[in-house]
Amino acid sequence: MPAIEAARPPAGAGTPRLAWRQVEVIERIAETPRATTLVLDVPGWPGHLAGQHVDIRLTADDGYQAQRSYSIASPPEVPQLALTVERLERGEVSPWLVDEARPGDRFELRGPIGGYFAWSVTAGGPLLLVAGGSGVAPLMAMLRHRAASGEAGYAVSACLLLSSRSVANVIYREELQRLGSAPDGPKVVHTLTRAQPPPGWRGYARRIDAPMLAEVGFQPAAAPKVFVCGPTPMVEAVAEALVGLGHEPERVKTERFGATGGE
Amino acid sequence: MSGEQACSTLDGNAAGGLLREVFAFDATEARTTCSGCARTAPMAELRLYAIELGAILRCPSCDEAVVRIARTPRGLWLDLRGAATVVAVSA
Repeated sequence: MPAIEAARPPAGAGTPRLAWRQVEVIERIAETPRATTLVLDVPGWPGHLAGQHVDIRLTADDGYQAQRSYSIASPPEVPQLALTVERLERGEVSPWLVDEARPGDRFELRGPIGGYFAWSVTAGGPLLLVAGGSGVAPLMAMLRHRAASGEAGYAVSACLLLSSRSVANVIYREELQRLGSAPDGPKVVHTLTRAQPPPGWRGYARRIDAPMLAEVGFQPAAAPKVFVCGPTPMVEAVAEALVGLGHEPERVKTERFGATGGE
Repeated sequence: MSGEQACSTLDGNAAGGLLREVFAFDATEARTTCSGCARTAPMAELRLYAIELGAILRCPSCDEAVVRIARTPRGLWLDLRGAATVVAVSA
């Protein structure tokens, strides 16, 4: 296909499909030493699907702008948007969001973005969610959406396998425990990759591998809808292991995140 | 996210906002066939390089630049020479 160059649409040719809007921080929740949830008031938010993300744009006093993508952690049922951000050392944007942003602060946001890595109870299950670190954020939106959907949600069998560095680095630890122990709640399984597990630990203590996925998750015959989110090497390894176990590649959806250009 | 990286740590999902500026449909779901190796994958599964001034989405199999988008003073510049076909998924 040849290259094409699109001229700017004429002024007044309708509203942009994805407009930047000013949002305000209304609450900050320290999740772990490295991750913070920002709850945002987004006037005119059109709604979203669990798993979708937003673009955030910060503008410095000198006009310099930096833009990043962050997953939405709140379910469609909640009017305020929750973003869980992990601090990346030497990052341009995440340290400000994690450590500095306070209620009343404002910045620009556009979304919702992405229909690929998204799930709704109407799509059914079973639902197999595999996350590394803050990759749990979009999957948490799915579990919260499931929990908020009553009978239709409980009808979907769900399982979350979450890989974290240490117990202190498990994002949403208490909420996951509550969800997992509820009747009809999801099965929640943890694995720790960098720290010795505490006494009485009932999860795994190694990187996610094929035997772990075979033990924890649904069998390929159950045809689960699989969502994998985390750092690129973890996502690649998990997706490869799942396909190796016999899951259809088309049912294994992935989202990678991590450092790019200092972030 | 400044400048092209030697190693991508993001994928087409993160380019969803920029793709939404270019395409009338949600391109992250669009099944895209690489003109280099004929692998077909949703645009979300391509590897993302650079984003501040545009994006290059590369084939995870053969590294072909399947989709290239640049922000220029005159508007958005789109090069799909690396894509044999792009099929939008109907809702």
